[in-house]
Amino acid sequence: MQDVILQDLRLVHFKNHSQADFQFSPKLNALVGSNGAGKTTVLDAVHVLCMTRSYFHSTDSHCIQFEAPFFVAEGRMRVGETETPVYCGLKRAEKKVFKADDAEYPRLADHLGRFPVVMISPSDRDLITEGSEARRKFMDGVIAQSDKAFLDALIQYNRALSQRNALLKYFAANRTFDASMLELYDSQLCQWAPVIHSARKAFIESFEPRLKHYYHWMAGDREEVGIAFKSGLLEHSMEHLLQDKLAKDRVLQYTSVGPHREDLIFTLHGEPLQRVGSQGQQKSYVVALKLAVFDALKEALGIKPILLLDDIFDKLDAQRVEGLIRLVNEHHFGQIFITDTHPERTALMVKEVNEEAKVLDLSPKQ
Amino acid sequence: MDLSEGMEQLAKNTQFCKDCHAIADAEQCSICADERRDQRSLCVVEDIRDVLALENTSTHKGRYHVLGGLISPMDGMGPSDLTVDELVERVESEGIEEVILALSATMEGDTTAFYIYRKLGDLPIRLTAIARGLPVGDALEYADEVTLSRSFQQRVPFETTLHR
Ligand SMILES: [Zn+2]
Repeated sequence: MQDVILQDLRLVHFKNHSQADFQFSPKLNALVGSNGAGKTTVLDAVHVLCMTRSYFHSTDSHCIQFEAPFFVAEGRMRVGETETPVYCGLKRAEKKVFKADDAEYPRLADHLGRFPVVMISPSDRDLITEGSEARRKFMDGVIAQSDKAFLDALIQYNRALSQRNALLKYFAANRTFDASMLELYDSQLCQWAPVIHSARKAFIESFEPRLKHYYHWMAGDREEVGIAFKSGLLEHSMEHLLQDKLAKDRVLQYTSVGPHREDLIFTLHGEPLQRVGSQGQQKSYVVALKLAVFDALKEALGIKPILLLDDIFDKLDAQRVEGLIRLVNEHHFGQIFITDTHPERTALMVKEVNEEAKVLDLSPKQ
Repeated sequence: MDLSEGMEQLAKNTQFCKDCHAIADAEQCSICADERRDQRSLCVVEDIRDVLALENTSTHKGRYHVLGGLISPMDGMGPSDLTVDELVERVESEGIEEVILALSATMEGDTTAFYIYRKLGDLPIRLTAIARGLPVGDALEYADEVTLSRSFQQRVPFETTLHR
C-alpha cells in the first residue's frame, strides 16, 4: 500500500513562522524545540495542505501571522510515483486560494480524501467534553474523505435545515403558518436525512472494533470501551419525526429532530466515558479513537494517511511509545510528524526507528 | 446631485416591464415588445442578469418571466415577494404552451422550482427545467455561454428532476 508523503514545506507568514523551509523524511519527522518555537504550527500547516483548512482554527485568517498581510503554505505531496504540488494562500479579507497541480478546484471539498491525514493533539479532549457538534464534525470529517455523496447530502441537508428554521421563525414572528411552505423543506430534509444517517451508522459499526483494538493496545484488554450511536432515526423515519415534533418545532422555532441532532456516545464498561473514565483513560480513549480513524481511512482510501502527533508523550507512557515505534517499524504507518519539547527523548526514539528519521530543531538560532 | 439623490432618482425612474417584470425603460421591455419572439414559450428566471446571460446565448426564442428572487426564508424572501402569481396568470391567459425553468442549481433554486411546479400543477402546459450541466451551487449568471446554451437545449420535463 502506498503512503501519502509530504516531501517539503514552505511557509510564509504562517502563524509564528515568518518564513520557513523544510525538507522531510518519508518516514519519521521529529520536530523539537522549546514552547512557542512553532512545532505545532508545522503540523497544522501539513493539515492545511491535506484538508484545505487548519486543524485548530475555524477561521482561515487566524493562520496569518500577526500584522502580516497574507500567508502562504505550500509543499509537494507524493503518492507512489505521482508528485503533486499543493498550495494554500490567503490575503486578509480575500478568498482563500487553494491549488493542487497549479489548478484550483471547482469545489474545495474535491481535495478531501486525496491526501488523507490524521492529527492527534491535546485538544482532542474536546471530543469528550464538548457538545455533540464536535463529535458529529469528527465523524463527518472521516466519512466525507471517502464518500462524496455523503458530503453532498450533508451540505444540502444543512442548507434546507437553515431555511426551514428561518421559516419557523418567520411563522412565529408573523403569527402565521403555511403547511405547504414547510413541506417544501420537509421533503428535502427527508430526501437527505437517510443518506446522512445510514452513512454514519455504517461508519460507527465498522469503527467500533478498530477502536476497541487500539484501546486494548493502549490500556490493556481488561478495560472494555465502546462507541454508540444516538439517533432518533434508528427507530423512526425522518417523515415521522418531523410530523411528530411539528408542534414542538413551531414553539422552539427550530427543527428539533434529524441528523443534526445525532450524537456519538463514548463508553467505558458500558457507562459514559466522561463520567466514569479517569484522566488517563480518557486520554487513551481519544488516542485510540484517532488511531482507529487512521485505519478506517487507510482501508477506505487504499493509501496510508500522514500521521501528525502533537505532544504525544503527554498521552503515552514509555511502553506505549515503544509500541508505536514497533508499529512504525512494521510499516503499519506511513509518514509521521511528531512534536516534542525534550530533544533527548526524541533522540532516543529516533534511534529505535529502523527507517530514515529526521530531527528538525525549531529552536531560535543562537 | 449627490449620491443618495442619484439613487432616489434612479429608483423613481426604474420601472418593471408589465409583462415579464424585468427592469425596463418603458412600460413594456424590448423583448416582450418584439413580436417575432415565440409567444407560446416562457422562460422563468430569477432576475434580469439571467435574462442577459440567456440572451447572450441566443438559444431562447420565446419570452421571459422574471421572478425577482428565489424563495429563501433566511433572506426574508417568501413566494409573495416574487412574481409567481403573475406567472400563473400569464400562463392561464396568454396561451403559453411551454414554461422553462432556468433557475440556479442551488437549494433555493430547487425549492422555488418545486413551488412553481405545484402552482402550475394542472395547467395544460409543458413544464421543463434546464439540464444540470451547471455545477451544483452555481448561479445561472456565472455559467459560461456554451454550458448555458447546452443546458438550455437539453432541458428535461420538470418531473424527472424531482428527487435526483
Ligand atoms: Zn418584458
